[in-house]
Amino acid sequence: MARKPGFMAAAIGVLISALPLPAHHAFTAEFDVNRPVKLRGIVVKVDFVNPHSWIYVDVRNADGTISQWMVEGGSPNALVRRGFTKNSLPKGTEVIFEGYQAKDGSNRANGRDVTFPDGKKLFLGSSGPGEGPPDTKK
Amino acid sequence: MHARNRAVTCVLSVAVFSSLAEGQARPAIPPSEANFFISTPAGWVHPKTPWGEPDLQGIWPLNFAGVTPLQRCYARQRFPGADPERVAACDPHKEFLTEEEFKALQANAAKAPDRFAAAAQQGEAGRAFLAGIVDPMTPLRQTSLIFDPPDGKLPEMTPEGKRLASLMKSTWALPAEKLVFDTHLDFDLWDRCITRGLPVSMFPFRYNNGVQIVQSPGQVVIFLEMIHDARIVPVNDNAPISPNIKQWMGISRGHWERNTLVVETTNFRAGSSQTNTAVIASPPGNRFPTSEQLKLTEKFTRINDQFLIYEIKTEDPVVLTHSWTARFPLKVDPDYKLLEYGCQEDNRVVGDWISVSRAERSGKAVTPPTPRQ
Repeated sequence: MARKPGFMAAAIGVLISALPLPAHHAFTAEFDVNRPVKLRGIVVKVDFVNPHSWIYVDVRNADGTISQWMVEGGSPNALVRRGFTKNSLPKGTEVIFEGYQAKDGSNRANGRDVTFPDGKKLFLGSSGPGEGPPDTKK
Repeated sequence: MHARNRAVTCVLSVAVFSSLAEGQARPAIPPSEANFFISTPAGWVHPKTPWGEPDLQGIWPLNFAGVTPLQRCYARQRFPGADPERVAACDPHKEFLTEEEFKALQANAAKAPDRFAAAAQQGEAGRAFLAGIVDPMTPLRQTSLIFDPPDGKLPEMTPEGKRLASLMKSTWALPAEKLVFDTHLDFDLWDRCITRGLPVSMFPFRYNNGVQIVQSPGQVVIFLEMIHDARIVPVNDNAPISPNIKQWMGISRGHWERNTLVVETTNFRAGSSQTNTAVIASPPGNRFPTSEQLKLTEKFTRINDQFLIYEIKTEDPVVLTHSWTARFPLKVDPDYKLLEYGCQEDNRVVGDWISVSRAERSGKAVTPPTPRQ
């Protein structure tokens, strides 16, 4: 078969793009796609722990009680390397998380979106292409 | 590339690496398959440590090779539904892209969006944060990390290797596998933050790719960011190693062959996987076992101020029908900052996944009150 120019590169490109890049662990094994949650609450702390980071959020329930939820984030080192530090989401910040609850029904969720109550998305305007991690540029 | 060309490559490799001997100024070595198309400038002198050994010190992040598949044409096996014409175009004996093909691949990669940067620019960095972030990766001209066997594929396992594989467990599921977790032993060593194991710790992952080489007289340390493993390699230490000592990362001994650091590692404790799923084109499930007979031979050969050629040969007669060897360039990155990777003490994976697995099987998951929005 006569091969088109660049065909091998295209084939490899396709193969590479076809190969899944799974996260550390499979989402569906821990979280339930049928249990979407939207949580409005106050950030209590950000745990930059491996293999995944966790954001703790106090959420006020309809009866006035407070439930603490945990929202799973990315690998801390990868986040820091891209400029997201523990201080990027300070304690006391009010946020809205959207994600999916853990299958065991605990107050644990895989996060999908983070929005501030005024509709502003996290990091809006404060980071962009070409910027290195601030903590490596000292 | 076919047999004749491979032989030429082998000869060229010896010629290239031998010509960098002993700190002498040499003519330029032009780019070729032998040096992965990375040239050595005329007059380049291999840097030396103050005590006179070849200096390999620096940070050599693995993500430089992160987008190159471990195995060649692997998608053919794993994705039978892929475009048959394109899959058929993948020649399992073609080791390198042509210059034209490589430029096309680079152009394609340059067009691919940086998902984190794009998300940040669009005000969607929160989504990027929660989805996790992948280290930047670079296309290489080679078509796989494995060069031996010549088809670029991992060798077949022995019957015993297959039996050992069938006993392995991991959070990385096999196709259609229903995962069940009841104890810590239902997780692999990497899940438990104990070790990523070898040889796979020397292969790229999505993140935490830092590898730092530090030298002192008589010692080389290969420090790995992922899991925070420090491989300590005594150099020219001929003291016998007791066969009773078994370690997850084995015991290494090094020596210099001209400017090449050769590291041989034995005395492994069995149990880790030779490959991990997230090394592109690895077998699924982290179930490629190791035995106590595992032996690694690694070669680090610097070819200019920025690049070294890394080679790793894996032998395990209990698990493998024959050995396999991977070879790829690494580029020093003085701006890369290795970060701490504390994991075990705060690893929630084991407890959380057991809780979820038990709840699923008992059907007794309790949904807490719906929080007010």
